[in-house]
Amino acid sequence: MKFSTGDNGQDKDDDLQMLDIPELIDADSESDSETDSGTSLPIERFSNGPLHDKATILQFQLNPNNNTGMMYESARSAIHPQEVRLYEFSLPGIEDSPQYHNYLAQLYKNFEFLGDASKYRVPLIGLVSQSNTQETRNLNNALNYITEELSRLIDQSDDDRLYELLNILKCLNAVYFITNENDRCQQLFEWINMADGEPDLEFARDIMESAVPFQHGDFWALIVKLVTRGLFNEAKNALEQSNYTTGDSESQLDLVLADMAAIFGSYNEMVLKDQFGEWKQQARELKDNLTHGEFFSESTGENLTIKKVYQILSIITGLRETLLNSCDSWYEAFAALLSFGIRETGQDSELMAKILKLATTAHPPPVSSSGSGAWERTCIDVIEGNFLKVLRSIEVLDKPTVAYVSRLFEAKGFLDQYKEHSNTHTSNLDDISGYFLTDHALTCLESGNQALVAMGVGILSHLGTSLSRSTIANYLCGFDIQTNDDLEWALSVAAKLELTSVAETLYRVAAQKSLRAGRVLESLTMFSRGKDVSSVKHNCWLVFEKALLDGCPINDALINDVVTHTIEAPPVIRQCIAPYAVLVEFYNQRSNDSSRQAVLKLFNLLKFPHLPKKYSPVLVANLLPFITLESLARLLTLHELIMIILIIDNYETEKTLDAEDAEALYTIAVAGGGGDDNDWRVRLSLYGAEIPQTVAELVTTLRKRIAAQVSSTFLEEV
Amino acid sequence: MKELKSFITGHEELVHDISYDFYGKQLATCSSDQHIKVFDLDAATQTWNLNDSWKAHDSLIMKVAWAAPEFGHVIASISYDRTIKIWEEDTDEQPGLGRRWKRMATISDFRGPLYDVAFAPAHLGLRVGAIGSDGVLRVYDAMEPSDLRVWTLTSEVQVLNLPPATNLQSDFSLTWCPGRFSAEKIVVCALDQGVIYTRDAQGRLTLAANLPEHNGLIRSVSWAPSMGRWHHLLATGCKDGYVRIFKLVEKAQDVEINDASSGESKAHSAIEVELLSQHDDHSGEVWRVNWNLTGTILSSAGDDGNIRLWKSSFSNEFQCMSVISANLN
Repeated sequence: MKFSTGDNGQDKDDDLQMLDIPELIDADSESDSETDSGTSLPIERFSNGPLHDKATILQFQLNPNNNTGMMYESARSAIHPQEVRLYEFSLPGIEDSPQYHNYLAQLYKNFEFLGDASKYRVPLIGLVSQSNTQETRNLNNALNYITEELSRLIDQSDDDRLYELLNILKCLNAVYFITNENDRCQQLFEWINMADGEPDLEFARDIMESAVPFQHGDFWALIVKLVTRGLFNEAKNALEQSNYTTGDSESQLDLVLADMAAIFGSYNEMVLKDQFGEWKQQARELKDNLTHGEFFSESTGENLTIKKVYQILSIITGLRETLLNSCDSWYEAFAALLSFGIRETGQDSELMAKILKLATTAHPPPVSSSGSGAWERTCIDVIEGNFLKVLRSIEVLDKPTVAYVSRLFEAKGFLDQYKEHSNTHTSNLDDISGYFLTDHALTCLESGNQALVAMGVGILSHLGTSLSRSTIANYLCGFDIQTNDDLEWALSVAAKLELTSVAETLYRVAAQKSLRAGRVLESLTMFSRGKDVSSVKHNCWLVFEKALLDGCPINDALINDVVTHTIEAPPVIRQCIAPYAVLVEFYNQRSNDSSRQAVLKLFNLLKFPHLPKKYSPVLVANLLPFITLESLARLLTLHELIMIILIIDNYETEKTLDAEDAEALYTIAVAGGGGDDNDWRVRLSLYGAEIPQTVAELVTTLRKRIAAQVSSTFLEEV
Repeated sequence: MKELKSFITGHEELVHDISYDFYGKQLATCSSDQHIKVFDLDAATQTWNLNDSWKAHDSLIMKVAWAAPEFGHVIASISYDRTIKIWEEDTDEQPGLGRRWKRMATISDFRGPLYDVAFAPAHLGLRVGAIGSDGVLRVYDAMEPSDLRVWTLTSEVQVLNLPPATNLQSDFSLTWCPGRFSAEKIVVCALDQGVIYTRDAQGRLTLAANLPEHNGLIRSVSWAPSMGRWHHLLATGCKDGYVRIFKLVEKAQDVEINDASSGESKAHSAIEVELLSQHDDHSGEVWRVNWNLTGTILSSAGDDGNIRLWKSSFSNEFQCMSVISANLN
């Protein structure tokens, strides 16, 4: 495809200059008109806010999860503020309205449907009809879908910028996204009629509601306007309802007007049947008849009518000068020239540029590219093929839309020409649509809105590059999982992209959340899925610790079901929860008067090589009733008594960091009320025995009791 | 004119730092009043409610930082009292009684007031680094992340050859590269020096690059999240009035760099640093720079009382895109 460098257009280098960041103008603040002197950007100011003066400094922090932040006042040197406030502010982001979010959802759906754009690289040279493949139709439909959704959004939110955007998209649609020439003419007329609706309704009503519309001074101006805008049905109706008939059945003029009305009336039907040529021929024949002269009469009025009819027939048969003179704007002339003059342009951009030049020479567009003339300038860029400028203009109006439109441009091959200009500073030119789509996706991720986040991840996933994959991975690791559905979704994305380490992170984060919510087994399961054995171990010991201090199994049915094998758990959890299971068995057997069995369980725990030493004192304290109370005396063998001494010796010689923790745990245990009647603290109290208050006292008490029992046993054996 | 939502922190003296948790649901503040306060976001009302407040140090508290969520609700704080303290939320304790945040560890290896603290990204483990006026970067690891009481000094780097004179103004800051797909990197700013360290094959932090051009104390440094680009972006805010944005590209080949602490040139497998742009729009000192969640928008605050938002254009040039003013008029 060749691109024009017409007089009205800029060349490609100019197009490449248009890479500046669009200013993010808040429609609300625009009217305040206070601007920053350095950048000319509007300043967002608030009625409150940290008072900033020479003594203070402005500080802030951004929220890592969305587009908000907090600012506050600090100072260079110590001052004593009356009160210290934090002020919440927002960064610019995606418009927060359900209608707009729905629009974005529809655009995304459309993008998803298109799938891998590389499949849609369509032939560019030649007539449109020759490239009328399914791929072309899909791309054309895709832009059409965007314009329809945009129209729907405009119906719900009256935003001038969206109107402007629609004008540009309609123009794009008419020039590049059509499947045949007839479709193009229809789209061109739709575009100009939507962008600048003419004729004015009041003007038309004024004429048609007059006594004899046909005799109204502006009647023919109305018909000319309707015809140059392709509104043939309206023109036919206006003509038929104008009371043009003289009452004379032989009137040549009446016959001519009737013929013209018939030509108007047949336009849509014949164009639909691809008979534009025949239709134009009918108009040409009628026009030729008029030049024979027999229609001209002595009546000035009739002659004026004949002249007007001739003018109209000249327009619709594509007579250039008449057509240009009959139009009021470049776009009206462009549409009319393409529709009635050189209809078969295909995608010949040179021809299109010539037509545009004719139109803009006759009716120059506004010089300024801002304000009300902005869409006109962009539409000229569209026709001239300045696609980067077009994207930039669309970006200013709506950033998400530009992402999807750029993808269509890429698929149509419109952006290939820029790739040769790529260098280190403009490396984005290699993948223009990738840049815009990634930017939009990241904006979605910043929003903190779940639906938009899913959309952002979806876009990146569809891009399918290693960079987009790493972006998703980085994002998911910080994704705020609030529900199981969130977790399932994040895990499914990680699985699809084979991000194993990300999935493990997600599990570990979910584990922490479950733990905070008191769902211990769920948390342990998540930790094990996240390959965080250390946390499984740590939390299983915490379960053990709680049970040990409370003197009874923990109040968690699920954990206790794991212990009793009522429910299944991953092997690593079974392994790590085993000490707790043994402790529970100790409690159960102690309650069932199986004291001997209970004591053996306790010994198993004390002999367990991985038992943190800090638990030893409280565990050993559980043996106190068996050593102290007569009723339980002789339950321990000599060998076991010696083993307790060894445990105490071992504990005392290994003065590690655990000693402090052990003391703290023992203090808590002593202060605790204890569990059932079999709890060591309850039993000792019941029998009036003193409870050692410190680990040192415990050790001393144990040594004394054991010495006594060993002596007694020894004496008995002797 | 719009009104900003605000709330009173209840601090009795100046706030020196605020820090959001990973999900923006909790906010920690620290102050000259030696207290840390944590606020919880009420999702329904979008208001911040005090979770707890406690005296955390024996001098003014300069910074608070949150650990990654997979390690639980954990905060590190640093103070002019020369200590780092590690705090963990105990959800069994009632809020507002000053007991909800348990001190898990106190690290007191530093020989001067501390200025900045930061946790490493989670994929590097539970790791925290801090720097203070002794000019030494110290990095500690919780060898067993589930046990927050034991922290081991794993790296010690003399960033400044000599500590600054106590009568002179000084500033220090640090931040880790957040990307999980590149080797560990940390940028440390000490006075007017910006230095990037990477971990070598032996596990030591070694000099990888310098951040050039600074002509005054570096007040703030922020490493952009690695999203949507292969290179790294890093920003500094400086007393010389400039916001600077650097592009960092990891190079396979060694390049010669200058070691700020020794003044010698060294050959090292390093990072190529390019100053992308510098902006003096704040018309005075720049106090804070901060990247947003995806690293697409840089925010900066300075003496003009404005927060300026910077975004990269299609041609990779950063331009100011918005100005938020804290001045009343």
